[in-house]
Amino acid sequence: MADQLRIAITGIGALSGLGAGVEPLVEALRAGREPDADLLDADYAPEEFRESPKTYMDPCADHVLAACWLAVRSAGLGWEGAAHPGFDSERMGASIGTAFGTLESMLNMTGRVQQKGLRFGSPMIFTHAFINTPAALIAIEYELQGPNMTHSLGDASSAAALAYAVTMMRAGRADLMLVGGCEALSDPLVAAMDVKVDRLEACPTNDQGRTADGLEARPTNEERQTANDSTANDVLGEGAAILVLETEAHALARGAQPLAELSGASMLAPCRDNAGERALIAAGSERAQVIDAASVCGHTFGASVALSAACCAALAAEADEALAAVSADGSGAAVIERWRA
Amino acid sequence: MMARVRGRAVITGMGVVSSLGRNLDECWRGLIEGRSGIGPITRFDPDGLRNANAGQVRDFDFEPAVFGLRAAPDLATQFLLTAAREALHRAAIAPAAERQARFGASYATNFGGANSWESYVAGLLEGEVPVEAFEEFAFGRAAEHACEAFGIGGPCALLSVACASGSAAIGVASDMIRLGEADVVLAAGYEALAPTPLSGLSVLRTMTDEMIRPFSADRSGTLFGEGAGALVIEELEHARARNARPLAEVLGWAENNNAYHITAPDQGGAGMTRVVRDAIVDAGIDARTIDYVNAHGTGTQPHDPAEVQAVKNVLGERAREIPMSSIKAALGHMMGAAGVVEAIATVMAINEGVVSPTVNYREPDPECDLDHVPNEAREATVRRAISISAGIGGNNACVVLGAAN
Repeated sequence: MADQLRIAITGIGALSGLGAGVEPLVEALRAGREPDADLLDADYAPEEFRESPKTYMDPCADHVLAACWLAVRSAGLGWEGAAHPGFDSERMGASIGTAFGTLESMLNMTGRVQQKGLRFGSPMIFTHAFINTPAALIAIEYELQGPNMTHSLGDASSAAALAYAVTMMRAGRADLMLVGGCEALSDPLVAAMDVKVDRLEACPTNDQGRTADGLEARPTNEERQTANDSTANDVLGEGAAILVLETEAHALARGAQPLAELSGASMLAPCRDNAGERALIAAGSERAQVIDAASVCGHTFGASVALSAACCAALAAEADEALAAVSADGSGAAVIERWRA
Repeated sequence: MMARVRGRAVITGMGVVSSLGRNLDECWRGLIEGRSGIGPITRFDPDGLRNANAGQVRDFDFEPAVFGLRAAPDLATQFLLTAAREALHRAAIAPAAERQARFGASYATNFGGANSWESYVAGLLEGEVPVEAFEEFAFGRAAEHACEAFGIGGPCALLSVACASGSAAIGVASDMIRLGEADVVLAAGYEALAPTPLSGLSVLRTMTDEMIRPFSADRSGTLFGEGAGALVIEELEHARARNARPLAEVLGWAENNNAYHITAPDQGGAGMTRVVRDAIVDAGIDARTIDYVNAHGTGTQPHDPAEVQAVKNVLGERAREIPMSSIKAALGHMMGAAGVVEAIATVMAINEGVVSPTVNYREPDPECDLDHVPNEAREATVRRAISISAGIGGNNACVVLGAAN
């Protein structure tokens, strides 16, 4: 990998049930705390983390804009960052992962449509109900006119966001990107997860996966091992995390001190036998120490790899070995190391 | 031009499910005959929409067992699987029983399992929690189904950048090849018509209450369609080694954001201008060698002139010498699938020497004054072409395609 362009992490922004910032996550990891159901609602005032006033916002977009606000400041960019003299906003982008995105707005929209009729959809809520609306709002908020992508691959969504941001930057398509993931604990998501937990508890093992009447209502062992069901017993969480990624040249040119290096990221086809090792090898290090933010802030679906990666980046300076964030289903990974000048 | 290129990305197979036909041949024949697949929406009651017509896929049969499934997945996923199977069949790539580590995938959609979402919400409103519908709605589920069905075990992406998704997915797939991360990549866009998205597009007045007429002075909005498009994108030497015939090469691409407004176009098509310019720079070619533009061409009043201006801005005088057509009036705007199906029409133009027309065209517009190939297909020598996409959220994408040689 020596010939590859190095990617510096110059800013970290995280929001979780533990609060705003990556620090509470890192402290909880150090203390070995268990996730606590009381801590899992991201209790914060979203309007404090916005560069410009907003009217309607989906919680998922709120979360990710808060993470961006924190990340941009951590990187020493500030609101003026994107418009900074000498910065080329066309070379700056965003790559966001989310498994479910703007479900609260989608439920609002679909509820109107189903209960009142197709004439009564709300144009405003509809435009906030696209899964890529959070990423588009980031582009508008920070004048990021370069690549802008939303990735959705279940629990690995933000691994995909990281992996393809690395690809874009190594392909020379961007110099700086805000990259990470977001998830909101919306009612439709919580309702579905509650049912899954109930079913797993009602039927801990059933090789045939069939109820007495022959319906496939219960999970087979095989199904239990798939990404979603393997997390059904977890404490659920929500939040967002954003890393400011810059090419080494871009970071050094503006005098930024890299916090860590994103040495690799990978996203493999979702597969029931993805154990994580393959994704780690694809990301460049099978020996990295895996950091799992879910152990302290609950399972955050599409945001989970980004939150773990944020912790890796915060811990990298004092780590001798490479650290890694791996998706719960093992299909995506990011490897983060101490920055070596 | 792209740094550190290791391979050339060629297209060796294509597949389509659309309102003009459920395979590539049917769809292409419909396009060059100047037909439109737009007709009455029958899947659900369209009452309340500005327009009761769309490019609905008709007479579509799906056999889950063909794809190793016990039950039918979401309708959009059915379109995806069907188009992908055709593309792989045409590329003479048999679905592998074991996951192949050098076989990647890049999927694109706006609304994912939108019909399963409708079922889920209908259940919630009745006090039920139909969790299977929720799982089929989840965007990643389509990728799980397709990767499992075809033995894909390499790099995987599932992009949603609104109506630019399909073109962006082709770009991401071509990067996987050009950066040496995979030998073969399935690039596919898919979408199904569903009540909530159509309601939203109707109340936004993106949907016309008349007929979709891209570039025509009397245009009043777009109409939507559904289906899927799939490409097999392969490293050139890999294709040669197995005697697969390259149909075209993905020369370059770009994707960006206007960073201006969620729904309104930016000033003078600046974002689209940049994306076309960047894609051509990425391809490392001279803009004056472009022979054809497959337009996004939605038929809304603000979009079409902005796109024409963007093409003029980048291609200069060349813009007046070449055809620039939109197939959206023939298929409806296929949203997440649009970019892939439009790339397929572009590859067909390169191979068949025929440019598909802009149907439903009636009146010249001084702001859309290029050769928009009104209503009838045209013979043309196309060696290099661009396909442009744009979407809600301000995303733009452009793919540069060239003849295989």
